[in-house]
Amino acid sequence: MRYTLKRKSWATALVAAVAVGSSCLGLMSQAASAAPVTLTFWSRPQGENGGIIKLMIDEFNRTHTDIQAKLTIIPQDQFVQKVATAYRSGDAPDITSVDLIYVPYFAKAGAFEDVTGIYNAAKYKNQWDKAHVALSLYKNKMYSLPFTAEGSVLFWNKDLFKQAGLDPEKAPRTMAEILSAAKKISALGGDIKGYYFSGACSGCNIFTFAPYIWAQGGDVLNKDGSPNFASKEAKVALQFYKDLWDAGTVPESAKNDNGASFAAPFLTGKVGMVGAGAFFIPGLVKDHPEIHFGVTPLPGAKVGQSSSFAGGDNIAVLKGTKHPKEARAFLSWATDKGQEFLAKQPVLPTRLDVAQKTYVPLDPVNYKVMYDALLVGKTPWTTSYNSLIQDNQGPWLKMFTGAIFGGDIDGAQKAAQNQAEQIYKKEK
Amino acid sequence: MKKNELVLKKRKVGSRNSSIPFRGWLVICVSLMTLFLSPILASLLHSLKTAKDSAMSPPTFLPPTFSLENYKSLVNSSTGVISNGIYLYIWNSVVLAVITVIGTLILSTLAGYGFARFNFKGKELFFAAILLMIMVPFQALLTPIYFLFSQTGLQNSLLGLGLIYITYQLPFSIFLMRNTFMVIPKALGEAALVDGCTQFKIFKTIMLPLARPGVISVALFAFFASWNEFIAALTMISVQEKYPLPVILTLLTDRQMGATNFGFLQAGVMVTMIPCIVLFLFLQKYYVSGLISGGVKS
Amino acid sequence: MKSTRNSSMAGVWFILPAMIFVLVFFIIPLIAVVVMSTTNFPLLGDVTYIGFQNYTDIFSDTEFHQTIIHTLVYTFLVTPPLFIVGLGTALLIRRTNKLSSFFRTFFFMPLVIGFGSAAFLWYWLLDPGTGYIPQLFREIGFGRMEKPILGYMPGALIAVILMVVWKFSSFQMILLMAGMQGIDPEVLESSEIDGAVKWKQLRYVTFPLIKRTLVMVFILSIAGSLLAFDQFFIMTGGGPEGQTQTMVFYIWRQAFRSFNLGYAAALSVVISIFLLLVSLIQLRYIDEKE
Repeated sequence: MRYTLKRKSWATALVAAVAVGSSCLGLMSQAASAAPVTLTFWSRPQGENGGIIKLMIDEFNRTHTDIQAKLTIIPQDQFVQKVATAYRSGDAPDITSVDLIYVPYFAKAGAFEDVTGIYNAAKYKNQWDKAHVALSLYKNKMYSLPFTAEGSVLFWNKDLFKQAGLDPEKAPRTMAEILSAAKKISALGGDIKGYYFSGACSGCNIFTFAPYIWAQGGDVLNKDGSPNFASKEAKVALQFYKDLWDAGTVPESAKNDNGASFAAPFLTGKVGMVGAGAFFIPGLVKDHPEIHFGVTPLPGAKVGQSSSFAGGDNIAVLKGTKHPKEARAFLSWATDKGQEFLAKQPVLPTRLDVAQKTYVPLDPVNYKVMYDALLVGKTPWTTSYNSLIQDNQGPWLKMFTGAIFGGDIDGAQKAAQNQAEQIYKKEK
Repeated sequence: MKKNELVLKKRKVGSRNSSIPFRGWLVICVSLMTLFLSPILASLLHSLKTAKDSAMSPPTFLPPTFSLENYKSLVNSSTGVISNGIYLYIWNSVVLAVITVIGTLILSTLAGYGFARFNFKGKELFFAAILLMIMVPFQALLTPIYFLFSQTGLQNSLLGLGLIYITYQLPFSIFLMRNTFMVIPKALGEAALVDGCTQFKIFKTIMLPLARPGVISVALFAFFASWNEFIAALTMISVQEKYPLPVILTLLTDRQMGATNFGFLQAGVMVTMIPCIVLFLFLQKYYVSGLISGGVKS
Repeated sequence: MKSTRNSSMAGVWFILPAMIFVLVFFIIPLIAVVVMSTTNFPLLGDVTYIGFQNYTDIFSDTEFHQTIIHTLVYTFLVTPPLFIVGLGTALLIRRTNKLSSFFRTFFFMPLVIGFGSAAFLWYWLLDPGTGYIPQLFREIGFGRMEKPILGYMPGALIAVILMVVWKFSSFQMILLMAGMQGIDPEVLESSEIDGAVKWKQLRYVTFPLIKRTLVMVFILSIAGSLLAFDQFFIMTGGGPEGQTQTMVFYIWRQAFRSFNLGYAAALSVVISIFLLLVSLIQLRYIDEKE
């Protein structure tokens, strides 16, 4: 027994020596040939069918020889957890595209590099939309740069409007007008309903429902990120949705929809109105030419009020990256030539000048609405987005479902505010 | 609906009035069988519809036109949610299963034999440690394991995931192998001992072959566990190309502009289910005896 | 003498590989979890030692208490049907004819197909738009069935229970059957002669004889139900309105949504201890009546 073991250890030592030796040789030869630097880049699926980010990375790789980017796509609902865990284990990528709503969280934790310098030096820094810039700020420093954009707007089915006796070219301008239109459309009978929303999806509703609160001048979060769920504007908006539901203008299946359907029922041609974003337009135009639709800003209580959720991604460099120079070069490309590429796909870019020049002309009617939405777009700023809003058992969705399906708006608001305050205190 | 008849063994089948008459028994069994099978059958039927038909509401039970469209999409999918086509993910599941089965077999046959044949200090303690494993919600252990793994580069790897699967198969597998070995007479090995064989050689050349039914059962259960597990896979693997099948199923319900294509989802479900069903049909008796041996005698 | 001492050592070698795995992938993470439970451990950020504070927080965490109730209700509701169907099918297939094993095969199918697949299957089956179950109800005449079953209580809970019974009853079936095979047929015969009614025979003769098996079945069943997570994660997402959120689901949320790893760890420790107690009580039952 012992005899064989000794033999074995000699052999292993020899193999190890050879291995070390050859890798040394390998390294030396690599340095000599100056291979391109590979940046690791993570992103959630973006754009139609999630594939837009791959096209963009391919474009970058095509136009650069000294830097190459390697893309990893991570499913949306695990994104934050994966990036955070990777960062903690020292395993993080060099760059990440991140839903702008999470930048404060990562900035607070010190996971992102300070890019204030790049921001200040950028020629086009005044061309970025306000919301994306605001979310990059933490304690007066910039921790990311605007990347891709998204905005929420109201889609309406012109044919159904006509059938219900409404002017198909006139978009509803207040919540009350939406409610009345929805009722008239549902009265057409059959499976036809006036409105659709996802009843069990927190993210869908911060995207398409919160603007109704903002348009009135209210908010769900205060400037410092503390919760404001019990506001009177929120009550008005919740009452509006509750009326929609109680009047039977929303399909029953909406109650259970956790976002899997999101705005899809609109594609059946049997739904009068739905809140959705820019991502929804190309598919409608290409695959459903039979649906004549219009796009309009999400309104408030009075004519002239409107708002939109500014969504999309920002792009950030992870602290501890081994290639800071190349990472910054990527950021510069992504916020300049990359924006042109995006706009052509089409994807709503965060550079307003590029949006106006390249994006809007592709669909002057609908894309102009998206552009306007981006101009007024808001994004809630908080370092506790996950617990306060994203969590399906968190206060945001609980307030929503409690008020609309449970029927007790005041109670739901109060309970949500309590829960939110506890969370806010704990996670500050 | 409680079945109160008690059937006496062997010769007494069908005699007297203590058993339900054959016809009644048959009816009940067939109804139950239908109940158990129908969801699977439903899934199969729905997966064979065209994309348009599967979105039809209200649905028809049979496909208006039989179509392999959903399966084709699974294989050819090159954009969007499941790029790479389904074969990659099947392969991942296969690799994972192979790792789990081999690892579990080696560890549990050795350990089962050790527990069955020998008495040594701390035997009770080790056994208790194994029992403890079924008491702890293993989701709770996933995060520390992830951190541990990332120190050694095992995170985000099928190998790392497989090592976890092996470990959590151990309680059941060790019990099973222990029981199997306990039934094999010691005498068979004792003769060889006198001849100067090492314990290991006895184990390998005499006992193991005799324990074949147990070995096959352990392999089968390890396969099922690794093929179907989903939460640990979801947590440990971050890169889509390495996902095993069950995790891909969750992606199939992800919204992509359209409503969930349930026919497509069921096709994915079928692809995940079929290997299990086929294996089960072929190796039934081992599966059954495995459950008995592993479950009861522990 | 020499050979027995050697053979003891050999035993240790045999179990060593497995024990190493258990140590590395179970014991060590378990210790890590216990240590984590005494800290405030956000996924990103500094880790600070806070002693037992997580545990005292658990006492005042009303949401967690709710999930305990949900889990207990679920366990209470799912255990009897699981047992009854398992026992019923076990008794049915004890007939020794070829057909028995034929039927047995089909009873087993749901067990082998995996939790994820089963949950997704039923998720679709219950879909109000394209699922077969609402359609079935429509054809029987139960109305339009537009409301999603999984979107309301108690439908959501009942549906999940149904899926679990469908999937796992064959597991109990086989364990019970195996246990009953150990019964000496003569004992049954003599109780028949004494004129025992079938149901009484089951209760007073069979059950006491298979007590070990019964306890094992219940321990596994109850432990599994108390730790339920996957089925609710896929089918209901903890809804409607959090009413099917189980204890483990809550832990998962704390760890993977709120990123409070320390708190999640403390919750896990508490649940494991609870589970251990429940199982020990059941084990005691064997020794007691013996």
